Amino acid sequence: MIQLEKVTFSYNGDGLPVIHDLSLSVDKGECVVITGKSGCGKTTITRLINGLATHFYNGSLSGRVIINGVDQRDFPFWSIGRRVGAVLQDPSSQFFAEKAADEIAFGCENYGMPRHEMMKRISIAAEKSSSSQLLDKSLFHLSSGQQQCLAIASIYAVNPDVYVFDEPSANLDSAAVERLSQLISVLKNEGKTIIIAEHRLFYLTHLADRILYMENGQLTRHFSSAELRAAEPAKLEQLGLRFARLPRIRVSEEIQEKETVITIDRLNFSYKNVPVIHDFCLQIGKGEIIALRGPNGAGKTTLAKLVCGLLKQKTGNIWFRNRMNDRNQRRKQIFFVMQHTDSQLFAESALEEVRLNAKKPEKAESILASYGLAPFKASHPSTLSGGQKQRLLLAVAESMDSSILILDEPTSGLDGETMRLLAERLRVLAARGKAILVISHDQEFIASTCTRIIHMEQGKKITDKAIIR
Amino acid sequence: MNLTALHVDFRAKLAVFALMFLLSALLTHDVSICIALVFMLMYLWMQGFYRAGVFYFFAGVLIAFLRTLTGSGGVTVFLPDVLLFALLRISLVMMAAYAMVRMPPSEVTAAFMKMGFPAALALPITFMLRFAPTVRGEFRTVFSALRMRGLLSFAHPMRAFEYILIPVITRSAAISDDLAASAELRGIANPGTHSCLRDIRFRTMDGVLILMSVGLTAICLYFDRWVIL
Repeated sequence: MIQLEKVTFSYNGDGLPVIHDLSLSVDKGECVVITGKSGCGKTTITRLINGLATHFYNGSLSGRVIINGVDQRDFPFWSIGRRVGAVLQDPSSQFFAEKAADEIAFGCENYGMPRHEMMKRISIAAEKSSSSQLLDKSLFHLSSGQQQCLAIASIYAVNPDVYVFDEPSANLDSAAVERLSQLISVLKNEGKTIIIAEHRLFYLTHLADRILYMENGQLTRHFSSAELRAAEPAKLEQLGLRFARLPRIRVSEEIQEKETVITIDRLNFSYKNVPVIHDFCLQIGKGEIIALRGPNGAGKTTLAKLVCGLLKQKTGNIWFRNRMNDRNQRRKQIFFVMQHTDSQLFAESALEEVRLNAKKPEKAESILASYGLAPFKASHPSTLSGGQKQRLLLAVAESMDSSILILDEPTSGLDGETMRLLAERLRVLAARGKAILVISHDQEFIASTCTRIIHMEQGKKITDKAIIR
Repeated sequence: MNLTALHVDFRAKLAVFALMFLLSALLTHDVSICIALVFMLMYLWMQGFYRAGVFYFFAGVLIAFLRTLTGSGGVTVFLPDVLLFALLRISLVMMAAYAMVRMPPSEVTAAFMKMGFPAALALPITFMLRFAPTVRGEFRTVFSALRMRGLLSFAHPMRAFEYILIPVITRSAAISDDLAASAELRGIANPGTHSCLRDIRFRTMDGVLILMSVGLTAICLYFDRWVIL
């Protein structure tokens, strides 16, 4: 179905090849997972298959990419979507319509499908993706999981033979990952050929026929699902991969008393008269790393914005070391690393970024080095990888010497190696007495890093437990 | 799936927009602008854009009131009369634009194609319509990040401007790449016929709306030139 023959590819004609002399053959109906460290070239393989690499990014390709017997370069770009459907990493940035039904129809409309046929396909695609009840909803009000299901439904409606996914689980909570897994299973049972570039492997081990490991633009190892499941964690760690089985988070009801840094007392917040945070109480102690979990839309990010002073609570108090601080004072004590790191970097170089807010600018260079970013000190922050940007923001937080650090999904899209590096830095900061609150769906990260776990639903704290190691 | 909701055809909206643009340029008296604002409030209300309709209407009326109150002298240096004059007219154009911006992009593309617009013109407009709310969201995020870092300062406006602009441009470039890639991968550049889930038809109601808008334009211009002294 798909053949890559001695493919070498670079984004800039004369630049270093991202893919180097790579050959790959995928049979019809096969489900192949491509994994590896960030920057290994797995996204580029998906782009070669869906035509983006050559038609959209205008890169330089030698070798051949053959889909169903025809060279990819022989197709006009607009027609590739009929054969190869692509689901990108962030579903919210690929939507073109406001309403779910319009979004599912988008591809069908572009290919000039008659209206009655389109209606039929929308119904089937919505039913298959369990999205029938969402058709009238605005996409901007749906959870990431629901958005991802609709992104797949919009491809399904066009009915291509090949599906290419680029890190589809990066922004999803565990329930949504489960739904995604079921949806991929539906596609597989229908005989579709599926290629998935992914860091998180646990939800794919029962679906994948083959797992390919990439390094420096080449496929260097092959695993079967059984081999991957049986692989020693140490071996996966050495390869920079995430684990094939999710570690269990062992919890205890007994939470150790620590010196309280911040006390949240009966916090309430509503948005357009809809309660988002409801009577929320929490104490965060020195040296604690608290994981805040819950389904999309539970109010986790809103809670973080209230705590750090970006939003104003309707009622309730926030005490900082037993003193009630207003929002401006809280912003000086708390640093919040939001999602989308690009929106939070302002300087012209990584070093300047750390110096910008440093309490002691002369220490900026050593702080940067402790995050492994010394070689990139002159680089523009926007040129860094996702993991490097996360580390740079942590370095900024450290240089500001904030007592409390809040991070929103810091490991989204990170490979195993970068995730572990980030976890290590957070443990170091906690050991220095910082209080850390992490909004995360990443069970692997929580199990290895956090000391306490809070589950939140509909703006309320449901459980609050200590994590046992 | 509710696809039977009454809606105005894109071509009629385009005509209303053109007429309001014309009025904003030609009307000299605030009273005539306010008459047009009443019409546009009904226009948005009819299409279910209640909040936006009320917001722009009262914003416009408030500006007109301020101008009357100050005898066209402006309100301090921050709101000089020339700014109020422009804002009043912009609010009228914004009301007409709002109804267009809120349309599904696919409907806009299909309407453009039906009008015989070349894809090279229709696609960028469709893309812009989709992109506007995204950029607004990015500005909000960047402002939050700047406040967290204490970098939003009126003391150094040029520096603050640079801090705002750079991440917005960086993020917008990344998002627009994703958006364009996703659209291309679903055949947006297909040179052949595009269809539309929503029924693209110029109904009697659209014709009536255009006639009413032309009538309103004539009344406003007559009122502005010969009735108000």
